[in-house]
Amino acid sequence: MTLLEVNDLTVKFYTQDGVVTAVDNLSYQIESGEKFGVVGESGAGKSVTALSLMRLIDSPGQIESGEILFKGEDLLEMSEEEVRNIRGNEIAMIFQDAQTALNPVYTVGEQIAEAIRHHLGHDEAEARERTIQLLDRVGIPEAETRFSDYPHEFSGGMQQRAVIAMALSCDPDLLLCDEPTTALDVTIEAQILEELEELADDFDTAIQLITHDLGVVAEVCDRVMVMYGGKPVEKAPVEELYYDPKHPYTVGLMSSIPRVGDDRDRLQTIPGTMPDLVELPPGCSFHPRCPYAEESCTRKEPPLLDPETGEEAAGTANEHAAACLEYSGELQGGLDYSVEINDSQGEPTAVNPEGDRND
Amino acid sequence: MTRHDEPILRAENLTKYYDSSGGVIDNLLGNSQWVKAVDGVDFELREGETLGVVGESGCGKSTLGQALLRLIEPTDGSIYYQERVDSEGGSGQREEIDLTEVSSSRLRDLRTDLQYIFQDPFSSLNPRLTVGDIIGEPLDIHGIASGEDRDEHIYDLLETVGLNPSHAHRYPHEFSGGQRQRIGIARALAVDPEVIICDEPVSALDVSVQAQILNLLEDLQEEFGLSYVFIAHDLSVVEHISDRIAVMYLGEFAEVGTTEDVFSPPYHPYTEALLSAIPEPDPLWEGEQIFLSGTVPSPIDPPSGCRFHTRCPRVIPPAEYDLEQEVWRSIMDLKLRVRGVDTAEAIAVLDDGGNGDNEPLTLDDIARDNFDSQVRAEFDLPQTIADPTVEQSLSQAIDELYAKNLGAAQDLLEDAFTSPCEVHQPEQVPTGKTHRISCLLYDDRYDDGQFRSTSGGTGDAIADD
Repeated sequence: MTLLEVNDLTVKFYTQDGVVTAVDNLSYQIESGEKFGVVGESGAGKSVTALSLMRLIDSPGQIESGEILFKGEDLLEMSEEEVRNIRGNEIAMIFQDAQTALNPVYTVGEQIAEAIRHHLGHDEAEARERTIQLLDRVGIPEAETRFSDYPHEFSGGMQQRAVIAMALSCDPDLLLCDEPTTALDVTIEAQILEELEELADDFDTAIQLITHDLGVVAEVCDRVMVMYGGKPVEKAPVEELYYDPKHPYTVGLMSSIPRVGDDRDRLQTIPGTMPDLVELPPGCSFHPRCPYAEESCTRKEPPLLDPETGEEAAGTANEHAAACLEYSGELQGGLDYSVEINDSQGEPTAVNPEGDRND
Repeated sequence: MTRHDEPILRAENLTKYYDSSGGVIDNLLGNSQWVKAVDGVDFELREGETLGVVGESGCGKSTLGQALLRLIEPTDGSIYYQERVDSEGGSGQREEIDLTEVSSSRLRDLRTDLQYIFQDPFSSLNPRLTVGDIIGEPLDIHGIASGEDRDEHIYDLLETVGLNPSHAHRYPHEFSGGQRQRIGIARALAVDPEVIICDEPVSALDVSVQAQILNLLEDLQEEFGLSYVFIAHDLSVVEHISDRIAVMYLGEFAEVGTTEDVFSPPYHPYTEALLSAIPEPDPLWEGEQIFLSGTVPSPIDPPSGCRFHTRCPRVIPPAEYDLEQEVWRSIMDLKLRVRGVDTAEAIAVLDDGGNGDNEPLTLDDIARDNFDSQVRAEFDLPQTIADPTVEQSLSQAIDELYAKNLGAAQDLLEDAFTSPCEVHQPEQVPTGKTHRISCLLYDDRYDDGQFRSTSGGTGDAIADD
């Protein structure tokens, strides 16, 4: 069953420097219980997408057009009160920085119990008991004593666990995780990711995981969308994305990660930086950084295409789609990269012979 | 540039304690507490090499980096730097200087050889200076160049780090994160240094930009013969760039060796856990992840013996017991929990089987057997432990807990279950020519449950915690 359907979402920010199109005509869907990854570098529009789903875009930002269908109903059409009943209840969010996500002047337990009382109508004692059980469930030791601790008495990992407990408190159908482990050490990150996966399965919750870390996506997600400059450039089931990437940007991202056990002297890089969103390059917005860019790329913006047939992607759940002119046959030179699978460890490494153009 | 005989930078017993007390009154009352950020680290950096320093946050890696250059004053220890002296017979002569002994003006001169790149490219550049002046500042201070020569220098440096020289008049806010990190690198290069300490130079950057900066650092090393200390928490980055790696835990080096040594067995249990935790960018990868129990202990009062014993998955059981490793780890966890709590109720979250009554549960509400099984479930302990001595001590301790005698339970657990790792401090044991591990598992002094002290005292004499 399709839990969430985003159609042609466009979000703009009206800043002094000009109009920033943070999310441009974005469409995707999440099935219930599915783990959906959104990958991209800073400024790709990942977080704005998540905030739009919660209707949390503030001035100078504005949702310009599109629809967000959650269980068939359009969130953008709802009244503020209706949205408030969904927020934290049916759609919950985990933020990157747990320290700022928690209110420093309330105890951790009280903050979680508040949501339970509000959304589920539990009384004080019931809410307290459910909170303690949740804290215990997300792996906080001595949950009963920890209930009345303040956020600053928790370590970073514990704070993130508390935020997860808060997000799960009302048994949501969709959990938006915005870089949930970026601020944590690898050892803690591994624990939290494992916990998240397990909880999502137990609670039958769908996850939209936003991250810049391809390792995290590989570990958690079923399907992935790669974003660049506010647009999706590739959508695919997770294995296909890693073993058979179709967009040059995805290839660039993968080949620039240093890997334990590879003996490359130099890392391959994507030359240049993310473009200014006020003034995106014409045509394909990746063309100034793309090693395979041709004249046609500067003129025509490629839609998401099916790499096999070259036809426009239908938007079905499990398809593989990439936004590159290669697949509409308009690229003369073609894409010249290959994926090497390291036999000893079975890890794919994208190799892109012209990619190392550092300027 | 490949003389490897004498390390260019060497530290002995480098120590940095921070005072965490409340100020004068606490000092007068003798209440001062010391955060042992770096605790007796021996360290060497050879010419032209990159030494990676990895560890979790709070392990003291940044303090180590700053103390090495005396950006913060070390509490104890010496830092020796081999300064290049130009003699008539030719260059390459070096003279050893103890950085902890030199005057501040001499230290300032030495900054032309020793430079630092900071983690945060946003706060480490003065927003009121143009990029040209940021890079020009060290040139002015050390009297390296002035006038047109200075401009020339700045343009060269910008070009070296891959920035457009015409941007010299711009301000830092006009640059992206990666470009700012390049400016920081150009500033460090301005004085033509020998050693650069890079403190998490790529942690704040996107992967594609991170790769650009890593490549740049490697190119510069080749071009100028630099030696790097590369501090990072990301093991895959460190593995890529380093020749040797030091793994740090709570102010000490757990393991030092060449990159190959550290990334292949024998492992220090901490390194092994760190390695297994790296998220692999491969959806079909099915490695076994090692989860560390608990969190990093406070450096104010670090654990006795081996500092990692509170979380170590391979913590050594006492020789007299026949225990599986996981069971022993769980018993240690229970013991540590009992040591830390104020009430017996806090040991586990109690559940009376959900009879719907919402009063907070106390020990009186549930039976002894129920409590026993809930405690064991909390710590993943089997309902009965195979070794009868262990089982007896454990159930006695649970009895005491049920009777709310926290102190008695604690004593029982401490008496019955003490790991050699808690008692004996591991020394750095060489496991090869270039590899040293601080772990009792590899320590010859500790073998088959017997501790043979080389320094005269017996193992029992220091058994306190």
